[in-house]
Amino acid sequence: MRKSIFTLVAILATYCQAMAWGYHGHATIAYIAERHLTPKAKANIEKCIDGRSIVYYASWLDNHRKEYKEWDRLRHTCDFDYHTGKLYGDPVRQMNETINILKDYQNLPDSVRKVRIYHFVHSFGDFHCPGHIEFMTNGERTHTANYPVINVDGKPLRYHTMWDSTVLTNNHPDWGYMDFAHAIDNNLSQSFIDAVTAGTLEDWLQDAYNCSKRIYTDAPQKPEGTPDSELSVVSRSLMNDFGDLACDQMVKAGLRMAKIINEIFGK
Amino acid sequence: MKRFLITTLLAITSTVTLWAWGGQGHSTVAHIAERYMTKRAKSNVESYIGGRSIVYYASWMDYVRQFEPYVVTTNWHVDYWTDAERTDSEGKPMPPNHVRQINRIVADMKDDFRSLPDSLVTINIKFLVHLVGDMHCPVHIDFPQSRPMWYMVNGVRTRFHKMWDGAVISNKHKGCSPIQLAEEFDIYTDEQIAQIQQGTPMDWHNENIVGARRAMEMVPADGVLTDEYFDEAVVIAEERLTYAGYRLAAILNAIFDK
Amino acid sequence: MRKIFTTIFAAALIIQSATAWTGSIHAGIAAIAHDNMTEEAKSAVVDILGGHSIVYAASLPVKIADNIAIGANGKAVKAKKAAKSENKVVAEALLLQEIDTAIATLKNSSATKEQAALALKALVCAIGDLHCPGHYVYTDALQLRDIAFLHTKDPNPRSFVEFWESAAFYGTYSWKTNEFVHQLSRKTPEQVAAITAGNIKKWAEGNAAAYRPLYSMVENGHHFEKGIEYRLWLNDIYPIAIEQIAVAGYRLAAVLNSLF
Repeated sequence: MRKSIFTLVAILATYCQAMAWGYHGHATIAYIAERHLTPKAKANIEKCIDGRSIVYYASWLDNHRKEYKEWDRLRHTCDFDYHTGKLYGDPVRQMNETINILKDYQNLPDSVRKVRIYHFVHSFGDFHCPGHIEFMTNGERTHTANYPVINVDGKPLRYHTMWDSTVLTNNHPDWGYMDFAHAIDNNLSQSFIDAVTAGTLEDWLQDAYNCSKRIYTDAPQKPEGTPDSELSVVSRSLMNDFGDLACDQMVKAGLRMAKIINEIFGK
Repeated sequence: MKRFLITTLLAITSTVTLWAWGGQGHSTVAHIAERYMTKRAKSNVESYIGGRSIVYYASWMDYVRQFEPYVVTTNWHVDYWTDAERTDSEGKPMPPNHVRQINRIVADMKDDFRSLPDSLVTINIKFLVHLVGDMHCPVHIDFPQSRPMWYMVNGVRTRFHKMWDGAVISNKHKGCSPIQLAEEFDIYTDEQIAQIQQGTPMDWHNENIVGARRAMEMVPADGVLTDEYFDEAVVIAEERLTYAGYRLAAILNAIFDK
Repeated sequence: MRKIFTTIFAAALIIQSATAWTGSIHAGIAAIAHDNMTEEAKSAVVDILGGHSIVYAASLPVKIADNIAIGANGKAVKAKKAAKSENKVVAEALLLQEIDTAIATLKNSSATKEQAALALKALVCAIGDLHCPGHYVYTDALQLRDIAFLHTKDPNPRSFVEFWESAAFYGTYSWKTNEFVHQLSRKTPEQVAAITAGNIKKWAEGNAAAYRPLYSMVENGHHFEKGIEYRLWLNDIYPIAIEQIAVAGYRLAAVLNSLF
């Protein structure tokens, strides 16, 4: 029964456009963030979103973006120069804009405030998804997870899809976001938390770049249209490593998200 | 040997490796253990697995065993590897594989885990959290007659072992995450738990044989497994998982509560 | 191997009643209820179920007559009358009776533990079903189960009822039982009072009226040609499903609290 639900969800998921991180990743990041909020920040932000948890809205932007022109155009990925690690623009500007707008959350119209919170709790997670980091070489997009199709267990799969969900669900198909959070955000030391949350949004993206570069070097890509027989194979063993990387990134994203929410809503 | 090669190949090519209990069962065992670990033991264990909970590694042995350097651990999961030696060089019976590994790890660690290299302690923790679960799984008892058994479940031909590994729990507790299952299964009193934690892994193994035999004998003559079978089977599975959780806590407390 | 498993579970899905919330949603409803039960009610349940909570009861469901027939006047049709109706679906309209029987058994001090446990499981199941639009059979209208829609990527038409069992919710979220509590068990005392006011019959009638507009949300035979069209439609529906799940949880808690 449960498996058939998964199948159903899988079918439904293919109806929708490729989602970022997928449901589990976004929900886990938001839940880890929630675990690290001060009581005051938690109460304040929940007051702004009809008393719901931020986890409820973690994938809102994916599901509802077509209803809002300005958000539909939002890029969910970040571009870096492959060699120098220089960051190209827009998503960071938008994220900073949202953070700045939210700083004045008490004076915002309800609808604006809500959508900005939805944008923040979603896109901030995307920035930490290795599959959402894309690389440019000489101004051209050369490494993008959207592009290659790979072979996992004998089945063709988009690399992006693998990063959005397969890396998490293949070893832990029965876990919900609370299970993931319990397993990976477990009595973290204050010094670890301080180290992860030090710096600015730009520093964190640079960190994401450093951690994500290997997803292209370790799993060589082939262009779309390559016959199934010639697809790059991502082995189970590499998937296990990638699963660890994904979990590390989720922890970082959650802690950093909590830091910003605490700063804005904890006053 | 040939059959095992085939089985191994099958396992390697299958999408999800449902060797033991399945992820849901193993995570539940680890959750229950966590509830009964002492504060000191818990923090000592966690200092070796970098900010993660033991739940994170509950199924780890299942998904690394196909790759070097862990291929050697493949037969640690079950009691005897088919056709392998069951007696030592002097003809004395050897404990089953999983019990032997648990005994070895406990013997290595029980005096002073701090004197061992960190990486060894880490990997031993990952082994223990999984093997204690596996040794409580009824189909990890190797009754020669159960090995080739296939059954009809809802009109589909299913291998007995595979069915027990995952479906017995997930069929009945739909949508229950391991955290919730631990909450539901952990219903014993403190006295009962202390009683359950008594004994050695070998005693526990002998006790498990009873459940395992029952799981097999419950199967109706026509080999068609119905809802009634699952109703009974889930009771056995729940008990086994819960006992495994309590005992894993006992083992980890004995090693790390110092 | 996975294929075999998927097939098994797919087969299990077909064998199961085709109208209930899927089992995991029932368990979620029970978990919300558990979170809102008094200590007395919780320990009474633990006593009946041999150490387990109501969530456990929900994840081991029992088979019950799970439909509720609604007459042209918007009121629940009595089972006897319904049974005489030409519409054979209506003959199953026994959900309210199931609830009455279960409550009577739980009130009956001479009932055995086994009978009480069975009644409790039936009650948990039935209160959930009472809040699933798929269980309402309007005797004067096209039935939800007769409405089917098509999706380009899914060659088989899916009935609207089937959709309500699971995709209405799981198309957007995949909460585990404890996560239903985290997400939905956060109503204010005033909201809870409003939700739990009235009695089971009133709830059924209120739901019958509230679910009627669902019929106009998709035309029979509608073909969703683009994924995005389906997504936008789903966006209108999932909040309704989620609210029904929450309401069912609070009401189940209210019933059990008043019983024990």
